[in-house]
Amino acid sequence: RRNEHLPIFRLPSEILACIFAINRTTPRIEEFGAEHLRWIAVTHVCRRWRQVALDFPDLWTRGCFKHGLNWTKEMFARSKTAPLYLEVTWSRTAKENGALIKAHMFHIRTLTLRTAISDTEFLAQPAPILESFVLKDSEIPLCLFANQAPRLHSAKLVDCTFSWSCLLLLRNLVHVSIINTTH
Amino acid sequence: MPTIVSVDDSTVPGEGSSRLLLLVSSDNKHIVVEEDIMSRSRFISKQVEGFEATSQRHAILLPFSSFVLNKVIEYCSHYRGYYLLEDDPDAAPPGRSPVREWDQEFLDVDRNMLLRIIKAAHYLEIKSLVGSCARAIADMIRGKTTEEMREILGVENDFTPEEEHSPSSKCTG
Repeated sequence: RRNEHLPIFRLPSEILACIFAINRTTPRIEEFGAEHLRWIAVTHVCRRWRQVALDFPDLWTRGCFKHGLNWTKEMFARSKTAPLYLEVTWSRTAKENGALIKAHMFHIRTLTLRTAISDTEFLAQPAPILESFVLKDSEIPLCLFANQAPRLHSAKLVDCTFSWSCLLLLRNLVHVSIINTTH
Repeated sequence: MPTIVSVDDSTVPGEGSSRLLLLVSSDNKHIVVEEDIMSRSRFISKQVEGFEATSQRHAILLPFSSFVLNKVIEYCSHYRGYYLLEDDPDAAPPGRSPVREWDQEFLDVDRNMLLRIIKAAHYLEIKSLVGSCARAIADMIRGKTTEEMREILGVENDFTPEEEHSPSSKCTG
């Protein structure tokens, strides 16, 4: 009850969320370590702060799978339908990770997959708000994004095997980078 | 919603190149300020637009003290005539860019005052000032543990022991 009388508690929720967002870093995957989740300590301070953080989907939209599938599922759930920015590297549970991405493809804005993926069928899903896509060392499905990625303007394919037709059907692509490091 | 009252012309000093506004703080101090100075406030601008429909002069009653209001006016006076990107209605929310040097000095006040200023700036819809205050508060808690944040802001732990030790809280933040 004493908390309710504190000036910090009288701040509107959107300002508190704005303060939390400033401390949330958005590192590249290579730099993504436990210290980059330190901002989440705000959710343990008190009930109100926790609720404010949980009520602002934008706080939970930047991520990777580096902290495990459970964490990623929770983060996706907290992001609700806000645009997601994913930079992913994984190895062992690729199938489950792919299924999770497939389920959330409808609100992924940028997708960077940095490791070889054996089964890329989850990429044959419409991606209505996807703007940027990076894939490495994998085979691209024939029906990439079900040919429905109207906002996709940039794609980078590194050591990938693919059919040109799958790219030609993505009509809004402006910038395609195809890199082959094996030659 | 603010209360707007008609005021006698005699309460407002003579007109200069910029129209004068009368702001009334919660401690009932009357502060006359040029409209140009306060144009950074979307709230004030909207009020002034409403005034133009009538020929009456108006006072704008504000729900914070003259001490806080004077600080906000000081900020607006400093940036009078400057374009600040953050004040654009379509500007992105404040990021982690450093607080401007002048703002740092301006916001070198005690914690409670900083919180009052950000609340007033939010009410007046001055996005650049909200952003600078938010960055200053974010700096206070950046990298701190939960306990340290509670100590800095005087916040009590109001979680029940069950909530605090629930597996979901521990695993997922």
